Amino acid sequence: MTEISDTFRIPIIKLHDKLIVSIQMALSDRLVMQLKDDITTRIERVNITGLIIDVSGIDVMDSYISRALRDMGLIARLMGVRTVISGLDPMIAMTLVEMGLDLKGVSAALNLETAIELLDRKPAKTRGKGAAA
Amino acid sequence: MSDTRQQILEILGGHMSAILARSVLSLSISWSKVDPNRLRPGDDNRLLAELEKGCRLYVRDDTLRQTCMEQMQTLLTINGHTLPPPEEPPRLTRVPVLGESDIVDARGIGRLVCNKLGFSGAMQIKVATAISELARNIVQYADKGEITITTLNGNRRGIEVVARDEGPGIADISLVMSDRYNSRTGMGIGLKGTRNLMDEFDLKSTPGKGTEIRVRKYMD
Repeated sequence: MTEISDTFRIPIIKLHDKLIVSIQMALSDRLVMQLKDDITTRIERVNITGLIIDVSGIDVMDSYISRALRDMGLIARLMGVRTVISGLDPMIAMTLVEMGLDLKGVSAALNLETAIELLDRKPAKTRGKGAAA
Repeated sequence: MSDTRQQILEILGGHMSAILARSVLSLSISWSKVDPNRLRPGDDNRLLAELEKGCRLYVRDDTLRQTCMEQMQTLLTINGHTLPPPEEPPRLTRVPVLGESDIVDARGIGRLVCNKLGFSGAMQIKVATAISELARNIVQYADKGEITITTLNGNRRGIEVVARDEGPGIADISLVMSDRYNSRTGMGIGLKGTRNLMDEFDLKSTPGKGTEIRVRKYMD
């Protein structure tokens, strides 16, 4: 297992009108909290319409991590940004369902490519009541 | 340690040319997937079986071939079994849970143990997720505690995870396990989810004394 220093942050990359976050490690609670803060700050600062959180490298998703991801999606939506979670491992997806967890309000895509397509296809800003799923 | 590879070459070389000896040995190694210098129990027979196929091609004389095989068998028996049998996962692993960073370690270790036991990938993730929930409960409600991971080798092979702490305990277990419950940080689903993921779930808690949660997952 690689040691991750206390100051390490998950990088957030801006690509055109999107922010892309790729999680390629076991998430500690500290990293999750830091990421939530960083994403919020970045959305505020840069002009984007979509957020993609790629979780293909995540080791497990327990209730804390799921809740944090859902929260990030909700926060982003309140700031006018749509969120897509991409690359969820099928075995982790199965585990989530068995636990009774659910990422309500957040769209999902098979991989980064389809996540980008999904965001490009749909209107950048959802108006009126709630976002279309 | 003696170089078994070299010694096999010398024996083979007594019956065929050096080039043939080298190719017979290297083919036997790649087919049997046995490293002569790192023999584990059972490896010797697999390697000998492949060597015999090679010798049948190049050592035509039955008696000579038999001598050659016997020499190699003796050699492998002497040099073999120098390494312990494939590593058994430790029966019991203790992971102290003293802070947030131990959560990641605990689930990583749990996953490793499941992997060594031969659990499927999906099962590994389920156990790791359950451990993550249990460890997080310890950090959140009791500050510190311990997780023990035990391999079960009885009638049903599997893994047992026990999370122990001396925290405040759970006053109303039925509330925590009910659908109405919502915790501060998770989705109020930590313990329920863990119960759903595991085959056995046992929660003992004494308010003011602590909590012990014992879960099991079986291989089949």
